[in-house]
Amino acid sequence: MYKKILIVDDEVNMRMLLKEALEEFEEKGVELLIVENGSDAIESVRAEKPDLVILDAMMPGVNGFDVCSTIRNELAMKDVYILMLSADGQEINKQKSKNVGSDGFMTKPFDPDEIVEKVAQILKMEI
Amino acid sequence: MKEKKYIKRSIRWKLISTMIGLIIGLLLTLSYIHVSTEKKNLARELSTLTTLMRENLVDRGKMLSDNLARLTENGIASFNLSNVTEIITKSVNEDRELSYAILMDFSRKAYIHTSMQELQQEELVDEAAYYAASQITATINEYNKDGNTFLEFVVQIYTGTNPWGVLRLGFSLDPLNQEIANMKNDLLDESRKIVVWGIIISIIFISVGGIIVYIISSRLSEPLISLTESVRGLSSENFSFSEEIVVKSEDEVGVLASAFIEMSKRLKWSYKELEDYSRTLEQKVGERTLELRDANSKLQEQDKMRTDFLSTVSHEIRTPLALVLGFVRIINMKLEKVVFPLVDVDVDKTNKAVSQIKKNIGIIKLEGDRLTDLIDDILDISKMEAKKVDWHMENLSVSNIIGRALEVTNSFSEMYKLEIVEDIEDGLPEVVGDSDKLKQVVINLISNAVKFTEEGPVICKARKINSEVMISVIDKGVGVDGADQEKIFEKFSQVKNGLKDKVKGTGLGLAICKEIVEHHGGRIWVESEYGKGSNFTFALPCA
Ligand SMILES: Nc1ncnc2c1ncn2[C@@H]1O[C@H](COP(=O)(O)OP(=O)(O)OP(=O)(O)O)[C@@H](O)[C@H]1O
Ligand SMILES: [Mg+2]
Repeated sequence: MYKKILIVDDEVNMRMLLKEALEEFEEKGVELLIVENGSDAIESVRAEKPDLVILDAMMPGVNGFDVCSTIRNELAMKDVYILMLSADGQEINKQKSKNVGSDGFMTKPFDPDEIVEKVAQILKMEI
Repeated sequence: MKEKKYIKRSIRWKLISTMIGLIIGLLLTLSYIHVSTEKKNLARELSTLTTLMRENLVDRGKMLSDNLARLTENGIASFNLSNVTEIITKSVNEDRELSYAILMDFSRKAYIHTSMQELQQEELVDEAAYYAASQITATINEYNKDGNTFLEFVVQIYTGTNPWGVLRLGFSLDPLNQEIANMKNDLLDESRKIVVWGIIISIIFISVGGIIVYIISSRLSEPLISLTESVRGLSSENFSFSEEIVVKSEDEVGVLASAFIEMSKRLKWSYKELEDYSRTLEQKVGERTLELRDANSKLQEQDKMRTDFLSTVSHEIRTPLALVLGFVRIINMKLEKVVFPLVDVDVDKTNKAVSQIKKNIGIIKLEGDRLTDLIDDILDISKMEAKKVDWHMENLSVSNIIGRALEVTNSFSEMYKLEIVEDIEDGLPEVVGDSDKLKQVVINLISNAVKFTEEGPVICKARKINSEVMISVIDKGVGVDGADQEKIFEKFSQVKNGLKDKVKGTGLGLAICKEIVEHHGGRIWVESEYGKGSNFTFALPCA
């Protein structure tokens, strides 16, 4: 069974950056799912049941926090790892993301190597 | 109200009572003088009357006694004593005042005794008889007998030339005394009447005088009373009183009243002005309050906008920055892993290009990081100034804070090849604060020390002094000129120093430190000598 990573970001270049950074995992058979808004993300999580969701916090419409709490509460998916990314690193944001049930929080800008390391850790894979 | 009445009374009654007192006194003295002179007059009159009456009686008595004595002598000479007795008895009966007549010889044998007939032909032994018998000339004897006063006329009776005896005519003084007493009574009545009339006249005078005095005193005191009431009114900001004052007289009270009216008019006018002024003031205050409220809500709006702006800016700048830095790393990675292995490093030009690309990428990364730091600092200080920072205050160990800060700074102190020495006093008390923020203060101070020092260790010292914990970062670097020591804690302030290449910053580090320390109720300052080094210290109150 292949692992699945869902990348959610409204910014096209950010989606591309994350996709390129995680290319190595793709080469190793991990499936990269990429969506550009909150409601699509919820749909995708429901349909594909990914192992990891890399979720942008600030998006127009349904934002990252909403998506996170929907996954935890309405979809009742406790196992999926949710890693939130936010440009706003204020303590209050970190707290908010914890409250809606995320497992990790990273501030932009981030070092792609860090993300790679973190993802490898979560998926228990060696790069 | 009571007080007002009191005042009315006091003024009017003072006047009335003095006036009436004066009138009564005057009348009393006048009537006393009058009565006493009248009394004296009456008494004098009485005494003259009494003597007159007495003289009259004496004259009458003398005449009668002389007549009767001649008659008796004639009677004795003609031995017709019965006729004499008849005449004498008749005289006694006719004269109301003549109470008795006695004819006796010198041996006091009574021949005629009108009052006691039984004593006729008897020898009289009473004192008056002895007295009469002993007289040789006509005399008047006054004596008392059985409570009655008698005036006895004693006339000698002669037979021829020989004294024979005496005729005694006794006039009772009682009717006279009675009359005198009556007169006295009449006089007393008279004087009593005078006194009564005096009293009546006094009363009439007093009442008429009182009424006149009342009217006059009212006239006098009324303007005073209304003045008093107006003054009272003034003190309770009632100006209508003064309009009721009518100046009737031209005396001092009148002058006072018109002066008062003038004054209260002015007072009313200035009070009105004051009222107007305070009304406009109130209005103005109201307007200002509205404006302030407006401004305040605008400020709140701006505050919200500022917060929104901050998060927008941080998002809008960080996202592209994240992309730039992210792609630089990916490019770097791809170059390292895919491209550079294929490059023929033997060719000089290619080799040079490869090493330059590596360097350039390094610079892009470094500057990108600096930009990120700058944005973080700007956001931090803006938030602190806007009081939008969530402080997590707790009891903290100072050495712990320093330890965690050194973990961060060690990497770049190694880069600058500088040693950092810890000098922390044992058993430091805890402080209350936000550990991340305090750690940031220590990091900023140490990074400055490292940045502005060429050689020698940087010392991080902590001591308890009085009720404060003092944390100092001491270096042997370029130092800060005295004039700049205040300025460097301001935002974006960087001062000139010898180092040129090494220094890269924005001048926000110390401003952030100051904000954080002051939020903890502490203070931060620098002691430095230009060219010799600096000692940056911040003090926090012990928990
Ligand atoms: N230890 C020091 N020795 C000498 N000068 C110093 C020291 N620390 C600060 N300064 C002076 O104070 C100025 C302000 O320091 P501050 O930390 O606020 O800004 P910065 O270090 O220039 O930039 P950054 O915002 O990156 O910290 C510095 O530019 C420097 O001129
Ligand atoms: Mg600094």
